[in-house]
Amino acid sequence: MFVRRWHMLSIFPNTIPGLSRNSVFGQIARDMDRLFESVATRPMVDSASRTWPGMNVWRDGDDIVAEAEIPGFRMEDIEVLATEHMLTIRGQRRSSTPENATALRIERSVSRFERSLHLPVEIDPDRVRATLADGVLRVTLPVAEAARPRRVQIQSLASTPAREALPTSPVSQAEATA
Amino acid sequence: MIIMADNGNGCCSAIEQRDNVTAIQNTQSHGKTSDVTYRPPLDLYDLGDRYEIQFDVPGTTAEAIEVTVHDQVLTVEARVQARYPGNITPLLGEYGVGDFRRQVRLGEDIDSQSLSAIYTDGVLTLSLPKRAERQPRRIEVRAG
Repeated sequence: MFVRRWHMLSIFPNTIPGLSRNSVFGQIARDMDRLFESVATRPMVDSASRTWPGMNVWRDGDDIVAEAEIPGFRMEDIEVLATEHMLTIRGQRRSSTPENATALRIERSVSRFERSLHLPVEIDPDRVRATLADGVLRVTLPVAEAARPRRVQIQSLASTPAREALPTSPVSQAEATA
Repeated sequence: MIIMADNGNGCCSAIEQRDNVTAIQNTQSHGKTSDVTYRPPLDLYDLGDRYEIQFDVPGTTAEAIEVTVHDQVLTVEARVQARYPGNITPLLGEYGVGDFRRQVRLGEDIDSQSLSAIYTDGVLTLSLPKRAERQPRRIEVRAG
């Protein structure tokens, strides 16, 4: 699990009234901050994240489009798998830590992920396309022919010939008896 | 990509966050295309003779990134073009798309005149050389 916890460095603001940083409670606050900092600067997890990256999914005409921001991952680091009802994206990147470097702060902790999404309609897995540009992965999943909406021809009942053309329809029978 | 540094004394070791906030305010100040500004996560490394900072800023371009140093504060701003067509049906929305902005206070041991930056695969990497005179020197000890 990827935890974003980078919004503050001190869990105790310096401005608490009556809390001197030199008092006993100030000492406790400093210890807590140090503990917090030691946890926060370490990569959280080694196993694959199932909640990162976030995904945006939308329908655009006959396509379902799924997008994820995965900066630092290259094309060869990523796998996109599709079935009729499921999309899975997987990635594993090499460490971006420079050689002989001391990490002072680590917030970009995910190096492995796997996310699966159930798709709301059947798609055609053979025609799925994926692009990766500037850290943005976009997968286009064409909706299966069978699942596409069909335009239904509406026939007019106004004229006599049209009415006669639909003798078996319950609607036209009802209208005929009316 | 634009890198600017003022002539003041540059940077250094202790880097802290100054900018906890967001974008809604920022946008109003610089009138960008998107509604919200996001704070990109960063990694910071010490490599001995220099520091390296990596920012996750996906979906932008090198030309749309501005890196400035003023009064020992490094500011990274990246404009992100809106990328969703107008007439779509949203099915799942887990993140927002908007400009990125983050500020980092630099220590005095950084030579802000010689910053360099590279943008690749959605990651902005800044290299911040330390001032030569601040680096530890090795003194030869000779037998007398």
